[in-house]
Amino acid sequence: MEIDYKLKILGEKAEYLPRQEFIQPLLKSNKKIFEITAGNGFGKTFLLNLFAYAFYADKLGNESILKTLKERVSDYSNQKAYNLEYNLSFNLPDGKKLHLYKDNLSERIVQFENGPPIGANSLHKTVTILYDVPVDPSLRLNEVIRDLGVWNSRLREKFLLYYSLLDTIESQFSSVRDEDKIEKFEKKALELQEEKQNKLRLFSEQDSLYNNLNYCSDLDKLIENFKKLQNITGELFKKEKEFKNCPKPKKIDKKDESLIKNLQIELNNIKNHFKSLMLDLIKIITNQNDLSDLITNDNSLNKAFEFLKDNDIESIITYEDYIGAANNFNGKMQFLADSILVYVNKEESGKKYVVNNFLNQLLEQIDELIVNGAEGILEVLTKNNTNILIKEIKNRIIEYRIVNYTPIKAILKNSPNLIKNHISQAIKLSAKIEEESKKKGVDSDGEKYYKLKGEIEDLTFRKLKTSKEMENFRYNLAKDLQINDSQLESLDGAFSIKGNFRLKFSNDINLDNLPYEINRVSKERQYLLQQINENDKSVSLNDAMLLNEKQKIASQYSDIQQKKIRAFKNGLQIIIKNIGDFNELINNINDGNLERFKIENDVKFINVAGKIIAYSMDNKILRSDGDYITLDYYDLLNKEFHCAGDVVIRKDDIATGLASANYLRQRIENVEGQYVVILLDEIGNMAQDTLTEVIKSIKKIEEQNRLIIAVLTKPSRKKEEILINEY
Amino acid sequence: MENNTEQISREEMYRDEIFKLLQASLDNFSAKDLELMKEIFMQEKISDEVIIKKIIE
Repeated sequence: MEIDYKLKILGEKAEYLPRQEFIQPLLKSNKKIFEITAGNGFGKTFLLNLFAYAFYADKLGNESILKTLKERVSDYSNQKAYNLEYNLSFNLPDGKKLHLYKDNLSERIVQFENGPPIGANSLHKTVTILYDVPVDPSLRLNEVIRDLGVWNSRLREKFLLYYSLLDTIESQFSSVRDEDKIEKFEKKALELQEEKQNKLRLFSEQDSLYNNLNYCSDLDKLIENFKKLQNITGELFKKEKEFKNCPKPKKIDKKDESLIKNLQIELNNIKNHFKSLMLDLIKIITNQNDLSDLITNDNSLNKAFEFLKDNDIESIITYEDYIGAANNFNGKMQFLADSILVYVNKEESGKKYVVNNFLNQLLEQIDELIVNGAEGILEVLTKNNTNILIKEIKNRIIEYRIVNYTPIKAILKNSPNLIKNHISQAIKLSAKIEEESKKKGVDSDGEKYYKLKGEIEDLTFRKLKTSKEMENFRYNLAKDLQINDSQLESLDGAFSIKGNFRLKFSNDINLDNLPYEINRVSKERQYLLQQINENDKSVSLNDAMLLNEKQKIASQYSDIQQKKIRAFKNGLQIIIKNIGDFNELINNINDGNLERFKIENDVKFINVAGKIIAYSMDNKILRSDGDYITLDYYDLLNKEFHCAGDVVIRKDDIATGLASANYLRQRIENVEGQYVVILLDEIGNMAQDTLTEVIKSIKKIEEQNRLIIAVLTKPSRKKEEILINEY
Repeated sequence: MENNTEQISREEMYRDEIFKLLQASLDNFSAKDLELMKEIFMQEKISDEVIIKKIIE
């Protein structure tokens, strides 16, 4: 063995050389295990540092050497602080030599006898350097905990890699063809097609029924018109007969006669306007299903409506109390109009209208943006293509389709006043005709003459008009019914056709209440139409999804395999989450926050850590009597060693030296490598019997022909004392 | 190269214990899946192909 060195500490401007009284005993000895006791200043710790430096202990992993020692050794490479030269030579157990040297300017060199220089990695493959300071047992526990952190992080990283692999595969599932989905879409397409056919068939039935009910209603109207025409003709015949027998007044000249006649014509015009207004009003109400329902379901409204339908202006002005009759008619008209307007206003403030109005306004504003070339902002805000957005809004507008009540509202707001004015004018004209007749000396016969004359003209006009209307109506109805229009030329003919036509309907149709049935069937028909439209939308959507799926590339994984991959990925996620939590626990253990562990899983993890600690201590504890006891686990929470036979030893009750010896024995006996160098500093707090146990462990290495050198140092209270024990 | 066998051994023990602790959280896993999960815990590396094959088989 050779030991020579020169250390210059540049800052101190000091140079240190080996003290021969300290080095020589080592060089002269044929032993390999040395326990050096010396006072401060002999360089015993430097000797350990020198050996450690020469054997590249500063290149060991953190799991193999304390950080403080590693930094201490590494510091000798700092050429601004130190100039270190050395020449060391050790006899290997197989008789060869190992040279380690460095001059002032060179790097460290290690050479086996007759071998080339080797670096730290190659050296550590053959020689294990164990450098430790066994002074703080709790530090040892921390080392194990730190190991747990390293292993745990390593485990988590491994799981993250597999998770990432499965995640990548799973992300491709949505872009690869899903045969199950295709099958589902195809099945759905058939179902939708079948559903559509059923709906179309039902719609066709309802449509046919609806048309037949309307034809039936038209036949009723035709019959009514025939009766009306009969009545007009009968009335006209009666008036003409009466008129023939009515002498023409003599005291009236042509001019006066013309005035009365004009008044009569004016009155007839008002009557016709009144009739036309009423017909429009009745038509617009009966054609609007919800308004019909509103009136049908309200008794007062129904009565008022029926009264207004049954009375005309003639019946008002010829009534004895015509003012009262006019007020009654106007009152009912106002009541009907107000009731319907209240209903309409309520409907228009409902959700459907609010949504519809909003969507329409939105469309207008989008149009404005497009006109100004600013639709880009909309695409940023909605993250959607503007055309798609517009299409979607239009779809929603259809969904929230509303009735346009504007024309109804206009009629309902104006009609009561117009009708009131017509009645008022008719009353005035009627009174004026009477007054003019009296003024011109028209006697009662004369008055009757002019009245009859006016009535005949009116009846003639109405007969002509009704005939003309009936002609067109009859022609169109015959065409609809696919019969010759001559079959509808008479009341009997119409009755006959109606009788035959009624046979087309089943018994559950109430032909005596045609408006109700038409309304009901119309609603069902509308509902079916809506369903058919919705079905069409579903078909389009389903077809698009089917096409989209079919255009995808076929997956290499079946649906079942995909499910398995997903399930396993979820499992990995759970594991990663838990392992991540354990990292936090380990940090808390490191920080000493053990009281925080109350959750069952945390406590279980702490127990696992305790078992690893026990295992790291070779599952045994050296007791003060020199005997070992089996260690089952270390309770981190209560700081207790749980041993065989239910023996529990508190950590604080184990002497520092004992704890250190436990640790050192465990490290020494498990050391690997063909050759071993053991350097132990500051072993002074160990009792001799525990130190003996440590030396026994080193001896075992020596007996295995693996030990190069073992140096153990402890300080002496006497400054100049040097005591070297060899083993 | 100090104490490497023992290091791996302790790490293996740790992995084994952690697997035992966490396998209860994989309540939907079949025995086969659990076996694979344990392999992942215990083995240094399983190739991507092998792991996928084992998951889907």
